This record gives sequence, structure tokens and C-alpha cells, in this order.
Amino acid sequence: MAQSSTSPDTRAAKSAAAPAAVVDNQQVLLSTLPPSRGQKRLALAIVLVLLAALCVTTLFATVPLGYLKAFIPAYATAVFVVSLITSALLFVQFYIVRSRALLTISAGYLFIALMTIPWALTFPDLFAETDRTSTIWGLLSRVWHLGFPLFVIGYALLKDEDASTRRQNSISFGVLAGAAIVVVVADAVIWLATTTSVLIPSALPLSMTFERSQTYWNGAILLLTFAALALLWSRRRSVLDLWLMVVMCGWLIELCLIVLVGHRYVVGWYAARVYSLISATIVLCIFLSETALLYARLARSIMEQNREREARLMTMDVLSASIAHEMNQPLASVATNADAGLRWLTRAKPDLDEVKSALEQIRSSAHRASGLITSIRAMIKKERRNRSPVDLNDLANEVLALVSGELQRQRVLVELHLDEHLPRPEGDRVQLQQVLINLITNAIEAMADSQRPRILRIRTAVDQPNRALIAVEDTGTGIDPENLHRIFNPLFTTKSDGMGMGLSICRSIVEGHHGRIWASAGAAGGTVFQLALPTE
Amino acid sequence: MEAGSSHNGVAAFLLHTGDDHVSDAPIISIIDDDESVRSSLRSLVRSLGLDARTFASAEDFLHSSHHDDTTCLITDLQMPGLSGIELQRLLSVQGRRIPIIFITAFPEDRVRARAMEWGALGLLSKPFDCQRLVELIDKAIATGRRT
Repeated sequence: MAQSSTSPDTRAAKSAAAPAAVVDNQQVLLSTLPPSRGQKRLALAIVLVLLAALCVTTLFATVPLGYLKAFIPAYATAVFVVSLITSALLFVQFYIVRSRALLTISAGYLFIALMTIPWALTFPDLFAETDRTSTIWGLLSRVWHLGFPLFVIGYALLKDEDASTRRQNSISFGVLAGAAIVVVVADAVIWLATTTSVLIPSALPLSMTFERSQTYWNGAILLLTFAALALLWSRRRSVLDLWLMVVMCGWLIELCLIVLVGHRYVVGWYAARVYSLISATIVLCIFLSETALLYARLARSIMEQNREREARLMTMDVLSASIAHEMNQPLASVATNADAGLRWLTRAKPDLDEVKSALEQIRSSAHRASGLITSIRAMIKKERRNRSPVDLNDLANEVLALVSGELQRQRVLVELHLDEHLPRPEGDRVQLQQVLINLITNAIEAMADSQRPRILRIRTAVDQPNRALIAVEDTGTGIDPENLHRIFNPLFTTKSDGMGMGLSICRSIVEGHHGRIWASAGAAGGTVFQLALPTE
Repeated sequence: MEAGSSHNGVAAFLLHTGDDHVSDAPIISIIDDDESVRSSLRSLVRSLGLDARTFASAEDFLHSSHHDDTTCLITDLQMPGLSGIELQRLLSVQGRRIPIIFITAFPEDRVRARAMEWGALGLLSKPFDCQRLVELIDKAIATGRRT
């Protein structure tokens, strides 16, 4: 079984090579799963595109576009929906992982969603521009922009906390409490905003007060956003961290544009909101797709596990049947001889010679049965006795020499890609040789009816730290994808004259070495059999 | 057949001969590739006062002269060469209706059904209940005497 690894690169390699090994519980969640290289690239690409858009927009950021009445309600609705869904998704993650960091970030998203409504309703030009609405809007806007980075910072600070320090409270309570606190805070902010505006002296136009403090506010918001981004970067680990960084970048770009243009209803003002909405929506889509993918991967790995268990039961079934068969012979002899002996003894004229011979047979049958048990035990022990470091490159060359006659007869071209620095796994040389012979003979047979060039590729490599891999690829007819997982089951065969035991035995041997063997479709048609052995 | 009367055939026969060295006693042929099982069955059959003939394979049995005078055949199912079922078919095709008792270390419902369908007297799993085997032999002898 593949060991779960925290390195993102090996994770990607593993998922490409072997579909769904057993997935570690902690490896399947957004908040714990390390991002793959592809995801990192995608995130970088999105940030770069946003930056490029920012640069282009700054060229004509101050071009007035006029007041689009529908923009703010539409924008607010979109932000509300996107934030609410993201929040729900993250609350579910919290429900599973129970980390306070996740509770914080989901509360942050809920906060955004809740703040959007009063923010949109008090937008100065939406209903009637008064000093009062303008001031409330200004306040809400700032609290909104200040609040979210604070939640992100909270998330970043809490996310590495030890699992053992997690609260043991009921999780539903956590979700409810988190949501309730956010609702209360949001309401308090709105209430404060509406009441403070009345308290400010009316001699000074309120909007002016806010315009004066605008620079400080913007500075504080920018600083907080930067701090959140920097914290996320320094503690980045999971898929969630990666995409939160993208969100914060979108957020920064929005702030930069708004600070730059300083006016409403110009290109930059509209673009700023659109960019941040786009980044938030992309991130939500990625969270959703990632969740669906993880679910699919999990479902597949469970099915795989079930199949594996069935196959193992099947192997055990075959083995136990053959042991039962072997044991039942001497047992039948013992029982029958005992019965015969008794009958000889209880006859009208007891025949002691017959009784003696029956007893002697019982003795020898009993010894035979015990010998059988000894030999089964010895067979199991022997597997571990002959272990020594095995050079897989040497092994490949040896086996190729053994089958060279067949390779020539079938006009098969051999391509060798051997890693010279391959570590040596501990193993039974003879058994591993058997496996390789089986795989190579299968490959030759698979190409026998193929009209295409017959190429046998043998590759050795270190595919994971402490794991040596040998791959045997053919350009044959390939295996029906439906059958790929069944070919290692005992008694399953696609050959007209096959017993269906070869690959099953191969798997038993490889698993006896704590290794893995799997088959997949080859790049150029045909099939690749790969066998990985631990080197530590 | 009730358990009480199951012994009567053999018992009556024993009373009739009074001695285990018999030349005209019913012949029970035993086929099993396992020597220890074969010899234990021979001992059991002989302890009943019957004549036992043993063979290591179905082919040995067919090539011997005893497949004509056998009253009852006890044969293993799984054997190298001709299997028990194949032997049953062959004898049936040749029109020789020898009562057959199968013994097997590898009981399978499908094989059991097929054997019984083709008129086997019984199928016993190794290690088998000797009392049951004696009952079946008894039944075979009774059948042989009627015909």
C-alpha cells in the first residue's frame, strides 16, 4: 500500500500513477490536503492575470463611465451569494476537522455576506444621497474591508494549532456559536454606524470628516490585507491556504484600484469590484470542484479497498481449500482406521493383527498431518529468510537474458531506461525474478497478435522517496480498462489457455515484500505494469 | 432405510459366512489415489467381512478384471487422470450399473448434485462418518442381491 506523503509533488506523482490508494483521513480535506503543482500554477496564473488586468486598467482608470444603477445591487447580490456558499462550504469543513481556524474563516465569509446587505442598501446613490446614508455606507465599507483580513489573520494564526488542544465541545454548537457571534457583530456594527452618524456634530459635513480620515482607513486596510497575505504565505500548507492567498490578492488589487482612482463611477472603480468578485468566484468554484473531486477520490478508494479485500478473501479461500484438502486425507484415514480397528476388536473373534495394523496406520497418518502443518509453517517462514538487497537493474538484465530467445522469435525490440543510482530494495531474489519473468512473458504474449511495432520498455526509477520502481511496458493490444483491476485476482484470465494464477501470485509476492504492483494503460497503447518496492 | 435395519444385510451376511476369509463374499472396489485412505477403507470393508479390492486410479480399476464382479464401488472424486464423475459416466454409458459411493476431501454442491443426478448411491466428505458408509455399503449389497 502506498504510504501517504505530505510532499505535494509526490502526491501528484502518486495520483497520476496509481489511482486511489488508500487515502489517509487527513489527506482528503481542503484544509489539510497539500496543493498539487497544477493547482499552484493555476493560482499563480490567476494572480498574474489579475495583476495584468490591474496594470491595463490603471491606464484609463479615471475615465468616467457614469452611474450604472443596476451595478451595486447586482454586485452586492453576487458577493452575498458567493460569500454565503463559501461560508457554508467552510462550515462543513469545520464540522469534519473541528479546527478553530476553519471556524474563524467560515465566520469571516459569513461576516462578508451579512455586511453586504446593509452596505448595498445604504449605498449613497441607490435611494437618496444624504450625508447620513453616505456616512453609514462609508463606515460599513471600512468595517467590511477591515473585518475580513482580520478573520483571515485569525485563521492563519490558529490553523497550525495542535489537534489535541482542540475543544471537545459539540461541533454543532461550534457552528451555531460561530454563526451567532458573526450575526451579532454584524448587527452591532450596523447599529453603531447608524447611531454614531447622528452623534457627530452637524456643523461639519459628515462626508468631509470621512474624506479626511480616508487615507488612514485605507492605510490600515491595506496594511491588514498585506499582513494577512504575508501570514498565509509564511504558513502556507493546504489547498485552502493557497486559494485564500488568491482571494487576498484579489482583495489587494481591488483596494489598490480604489485608492488609486479616488472617485466613484470611473473605470477603475467598477473594475476593482469586478476583479475581486471574479477572484472570489473562481476560488469558490475551485473549492466546490475540489470537494467533488475529493469525494470521488474517496469513493473510489473505498471501492478499491473493498475489491482488494474481496481479492484477498478469494486468495485465502483458494489457499484454505487446498490446505483443507491436504489435511482431510490423513484425517479420513485416521477416522476410518479407528472405526475399522474397533470393528476388528468387537467381532465375535477379535483379530488383533488387524487392530495393530489399523493403529499403526493411525499413527503414521497423524504424523503425516503434523508434517503438513510443519511444512506450511516452513513455507511461510522461508519467505522471510531469503531476503537480501536486490539490484533491480541486474534483475531486469538477467530476466531479459533468460527470455532473449523468445524476444528474438517474436521480433520484439527492447528499450531499457535504467536508473544507475537505484537504491536496492530488500527482497527474495528468486521470487522477484519470478515476478519479472511473469510480467515480461505477459508483455511478449500481449504483443504477439499486434501489427504495430513490438517494443518492450523496461524502466527503473525512484518514484517516491525510499521506493524503487520497475515498469514493464508493452505496445500490445492493451487491457480493457474494466478488467485492469481484476487481472490480479486469482482465477481471472484474459488468455484462452491461462490459469489466471500468474498475476495473482505476482501480487502475493510483491505484497509479501511490502510493495505494490499495478497495471495501467500505456502511453502508446498497450499496458504498463509497475512494481514498487520499499527501499528502507 | 432406518438406522435399525441398516446393519441387517451385512450382519446376515456375516452370520451366513461366519468367517472373514471368504471367496464368494461381495466384492467392494475402492479407488483412491491416497494410499493411507485406500488402506484404511480396505481394513474397514474387510472388518465387515466383505472382500475388498483397492486401486490407485480409475484407469487401474477399468483395466482390472474386477469391474465386472464389483458389488459396490467406493471412489474418490478428485484423482489424477480419470475423475470419479468421469468414471461414473463411462460405466453408465457401458451399461454397467454398479452402485457408487463417492468420497471427497473437497465437497462442492455442484459436483454433489451432478453425481447424485447420475445415480450415485451417496457422496461423503472426508473425513467421513464410517457408520454412514457402512449403511450405504449395506444398501448397495441389498440392491445387488435383488437384481
